Amino acid sequence: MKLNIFLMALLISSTIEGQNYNVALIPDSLKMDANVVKRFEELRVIIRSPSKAIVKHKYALTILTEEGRRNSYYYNFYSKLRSLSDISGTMYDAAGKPVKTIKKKDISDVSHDDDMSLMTDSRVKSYNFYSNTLPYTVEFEDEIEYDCLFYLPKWTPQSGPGYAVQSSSLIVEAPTDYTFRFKQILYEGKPLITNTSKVNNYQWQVKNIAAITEEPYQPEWDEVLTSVMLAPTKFEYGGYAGDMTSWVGFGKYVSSLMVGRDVLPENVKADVHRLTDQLTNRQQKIEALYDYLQKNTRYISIQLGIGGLQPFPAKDVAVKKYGDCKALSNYMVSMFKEVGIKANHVLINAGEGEKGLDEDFPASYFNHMIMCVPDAKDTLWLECTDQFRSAGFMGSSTGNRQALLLDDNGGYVVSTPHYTKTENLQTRKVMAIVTEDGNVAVNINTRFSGQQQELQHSLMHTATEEQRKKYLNRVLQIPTYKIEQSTYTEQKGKVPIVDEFIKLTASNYATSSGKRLFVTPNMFNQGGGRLSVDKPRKQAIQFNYPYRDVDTIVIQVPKGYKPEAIPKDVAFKNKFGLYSISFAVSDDTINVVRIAEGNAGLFPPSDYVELARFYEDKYKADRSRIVLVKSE
Amino acid sequence: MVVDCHNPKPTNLMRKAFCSAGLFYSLLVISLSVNAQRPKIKYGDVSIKDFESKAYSIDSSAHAVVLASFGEVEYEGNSNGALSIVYKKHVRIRIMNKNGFDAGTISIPLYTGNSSTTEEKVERLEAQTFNLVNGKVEGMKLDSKSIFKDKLRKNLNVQKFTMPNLQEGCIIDVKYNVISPFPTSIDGWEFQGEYPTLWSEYVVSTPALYDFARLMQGYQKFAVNTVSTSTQLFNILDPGEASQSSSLIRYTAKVVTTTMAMENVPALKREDFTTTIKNHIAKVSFQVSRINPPNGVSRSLMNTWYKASEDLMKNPDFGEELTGNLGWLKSELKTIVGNAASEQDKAKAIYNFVKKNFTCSNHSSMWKSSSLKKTFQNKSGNVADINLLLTAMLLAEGFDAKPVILSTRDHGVTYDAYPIMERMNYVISKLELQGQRYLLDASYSKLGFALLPLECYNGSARIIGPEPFIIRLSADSLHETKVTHYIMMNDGTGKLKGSIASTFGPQESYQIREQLATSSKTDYMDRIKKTYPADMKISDVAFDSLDIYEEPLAVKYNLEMSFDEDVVYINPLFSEAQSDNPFKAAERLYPVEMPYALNEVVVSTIYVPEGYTVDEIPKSARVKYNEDEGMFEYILVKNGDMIQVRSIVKLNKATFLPEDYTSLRDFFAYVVKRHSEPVVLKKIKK
Repeated sequence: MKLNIFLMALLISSTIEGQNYNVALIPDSLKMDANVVKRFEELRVIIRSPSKAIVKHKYALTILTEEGRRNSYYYNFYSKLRSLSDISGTMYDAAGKPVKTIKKKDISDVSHDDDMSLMTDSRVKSYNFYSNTLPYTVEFEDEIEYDCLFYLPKWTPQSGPGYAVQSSSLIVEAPTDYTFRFKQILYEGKPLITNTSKVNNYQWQVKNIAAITEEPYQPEWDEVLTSVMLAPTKFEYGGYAGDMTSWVGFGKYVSSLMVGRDVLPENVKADVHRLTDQLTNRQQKIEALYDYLQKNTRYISIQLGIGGLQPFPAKDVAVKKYGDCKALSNYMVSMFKEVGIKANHVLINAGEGEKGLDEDFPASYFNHMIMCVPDAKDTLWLECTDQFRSAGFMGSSTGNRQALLLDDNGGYVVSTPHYTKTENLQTRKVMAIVTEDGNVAVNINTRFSGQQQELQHSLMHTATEEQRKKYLNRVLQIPTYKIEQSTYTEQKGKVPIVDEFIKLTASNYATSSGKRLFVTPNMFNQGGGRLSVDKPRKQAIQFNYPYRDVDTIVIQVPKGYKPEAIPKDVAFKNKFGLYSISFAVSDDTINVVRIAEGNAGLFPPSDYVELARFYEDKYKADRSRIVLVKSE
Repeated sequence: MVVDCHNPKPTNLMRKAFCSAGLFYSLLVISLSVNAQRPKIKYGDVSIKDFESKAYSIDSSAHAVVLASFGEVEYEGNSNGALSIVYKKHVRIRIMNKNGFDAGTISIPLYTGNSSTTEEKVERLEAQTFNLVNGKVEGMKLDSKSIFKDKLRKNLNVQKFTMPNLQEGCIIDVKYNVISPFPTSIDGWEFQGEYPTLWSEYVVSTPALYDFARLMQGYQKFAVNTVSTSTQLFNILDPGEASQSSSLIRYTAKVVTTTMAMENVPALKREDFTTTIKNHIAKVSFQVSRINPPNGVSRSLMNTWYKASEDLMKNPDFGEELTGNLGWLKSELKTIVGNAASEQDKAKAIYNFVKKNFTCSNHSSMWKSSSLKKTFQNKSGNVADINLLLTAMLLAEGFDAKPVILSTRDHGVTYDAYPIMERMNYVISKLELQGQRYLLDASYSKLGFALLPLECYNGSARIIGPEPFIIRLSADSLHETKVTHYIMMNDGTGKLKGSIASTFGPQESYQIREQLATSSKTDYMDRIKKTYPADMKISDVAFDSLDIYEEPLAVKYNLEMSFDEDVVYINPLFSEAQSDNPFKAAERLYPVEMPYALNEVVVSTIYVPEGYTVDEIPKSARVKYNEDEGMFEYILVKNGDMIQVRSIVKLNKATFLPEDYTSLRDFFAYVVKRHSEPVVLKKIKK
């Protein structure tokens, strides 16, 4: 009987919406710049208890362009803690007439083999509607049962560029004795709340949102689009109970999963003491143990059930010599504990350009765990999954963001290091000799530091010789050249440094035509960005990290040539950074000094024209040519 | 009998490389055993000596080295009344440094049918990591709880594990058997892989019940390649029908054992301009050719193309419906063909109907996924569904149409001599009309009539019909010509104003149409604009024949530039100058396989702007590449106040041998150099 009522409710809700997917009903304002129009969406989150929620999702998309086609692909994940019921779906033609429905046997069900993990229990169900006749509409409906509230869905009606929304709503039902939390991002107004004696019902709705076009250097989509995040108060996950209302509660819960997992076997304890007992300095002890970790473990991801949050015990890592980020951090913290150094786990959202967390809304933002050794003045941050990284360096993947430090009493929001433009420094010295027929032999010495050394660091440590050769033979901005030699050396540190030496020869570098020789002296650091100003800028401009480049170029040219045209020196400075390049020709030598700086920050859309001009000027100056004429 | 190389023209490369295709055991006994040292390696038997090498001469910078990889294929009787294959694998790897740790993660793919008796299974898996600790060898066994089983997708499971206690310099030793219930399909063996291999050996023993053809590819030589025979008894348990009791069949058969080994095989390298790396791996594969039942009549499973073609036309997953009643298409065809005037218009109408209305969900299949009727209803299908439907519709309208099968470039080479369907992954349609042959592919909506996508040009294709002839489809035969005209006029006020028009070859036209479908025209124009300096103004960008797929696409726009400097340098080819050498790497291992033979023509007429005079123009040049394989012609003429320029960069073929690489790279380096030379204009002093 219950089931029947449930079915009726579904039927009623669909009649109320009166879904007519005729394309003619889409207002023209929504078709502008749109590849896809979301015609209708209802995301219904039904919280049953601290350990159970049902999520019903129904949505319909009209595909307007070829580029929008990929949206007629349905896929969703499921796992032991998140079961996905059968999927239903229908495709409609432009008039809104149904033409095809999903048959259960045609739904693909594959392992979520993500290349990163050795094993996960996560699987993917997917289905694709095909139609050559644009426009068409696809409607999907599915249901997920969560065995935990640790992760609750996020409502993002508009999912990216070229995506308009006609109507979308989020409904959350929770028992009257259960409080869930929410945070609205770029949502005007408040939810509509209706209460019955048993459940509280919250509703958010948006209508008629026009599509947004992707623009270069825009902020992450998360920061541009309307969304509502949901999070629990009390919850249970994998048999452990917690309360996410505060970061302290969040932290306590995650710490509780780690209790008793820090026991080291005797042989590792012995190693730890052997390596550190003679050392008196705390920093030396930390470095010695981090080095031990890097030498003796590797990163292998295994995510099964609660294992997505709970690390393998330290003793398992000690034997197998591998683990995921949690297991390796836990192993590292356990070793520090053994020598009396207090260290903490840190939950973080890793990835270049990713945001950290919203301090005022505790929720599961995290995809990674690192650790730190706290100190009033000089906290040391350690990434435990990387076997080559300098102790203390976070870099682009985990630097410059807020994260959650865990201890026995709970969790605390902390900030990871950020890097200044003088730390993200690249200093290059180029010495070149050009022959009369245009060939050139070049020695390049470059020092990279901070975030600017990340690429060279991986070329040095993780690339094979072949990969490095292949990379170097394609990346330089001159047409036909050969790398004769390349060597790398490293200076470890909180801001690591990599020194690169490259020796190369290039044929036809300089153009000789009869009496003239054309030389483009800035061979290796030509800014590539040019920005189109045809359309008005809509979104803000964001640069994630600051940097400074200094290039000194000395080119020896064949005897008997005199300059006919020397480019003008250029220097400008603005809110985005600064740029200068100067050219001097004396005797047989060309001397060029180029300095470029970029600032990190968020700039209003109105600054875009200035940015485009800045880039254009750099682009032109970087490609300046010196013309030499043979003296008669 | 030794069947010829799969490559019809033996080239230098082929003579140098090892290449043999199809050696039938029953007909041939060869014996080749160079003075190779077969390493004596027993599972679990690792000694201090094995850790002595700090680096291996085969590749001193390798992150890991495969010390030995052994595979054995044997048959055994099973309890389902048939034979099973037992694969015995043993691999030993030395991990040199941290970057080689990935070699310690092993995954074993297991194919499954639809029941438990048709599942491949792993047995007797043993694995150990050995480290040298204080001068002693210590082993650590793989914990069975650390072995994971995953249902990857339908018909494919996997077992995977990562070795414990990996340390720099360690040795891993892994041994297991896979029992396969598919006796007619023997897995191939790759002698070459991501890491250099000191010894790789495959021993295949097949009972007289089956004959297999052996197919070789790659450039490495065998260290051992021998065949021997023996006799073996197979005990097969026949479960019998439901009411019967089971019985034991004792089957004695001659067994042919082929032993193949390679020594010091370098790691596989990836290079640009390669159709697929799959074509270059040192690999052996097997194809069942005959079944010889002990008491029955021997039957060929791999016949001539005549027989294969006949079978395909009877196969419900391929051609059966084409030979049946196609009446169900008649009424549809009436509306589609309508009042088409000529036979060719009719054929085009049918082709366009299929192309427009059907979406291709998978471009790699030689088998239908459903009946033609169902495909017709669903409006989607794989490439076989769609092009067989096209063939059916042409046939129903009375045309002479036949399916044609082939292997696409990324799917690898085929063997012309053997009808091996696994090698094929694509179906197109051939139409003969008024003495003219048209090859049709309706699976890409933006292809023109009788145009094939680049991926089809992979050597040869096979007509399926009573006369199953080869159609040559080589990249060398595909010539693409792009012509660009510049006319820059002196407007009398010190500016040059002009118009540019580029007309593309059929393949490039198709590619641009595809790009324009998924990105906007504005993006395309932006890209054009960015190839010019900001002070040159681009306007009025327009396309010709954007939606007429049979016609070459043309793009046109206007260009305006102004001058005030005393000396001005203009590139006479503007953005059409070849500014980059496509051949980046300094060396080359494999043949260069470009998509087509290219021909790029730029014709430019530049009037000298008001107030300027020509000081210098680049010299003309004309060079040939490898006699008649290509040429570069660059002609510049000053004619009064006009400079006329013509550049032709032409290659007459698409495929080049590795030894031609340097000259090819030099050829383009020369083009880049000459194309970068500017015209120098000077202001007339008043």
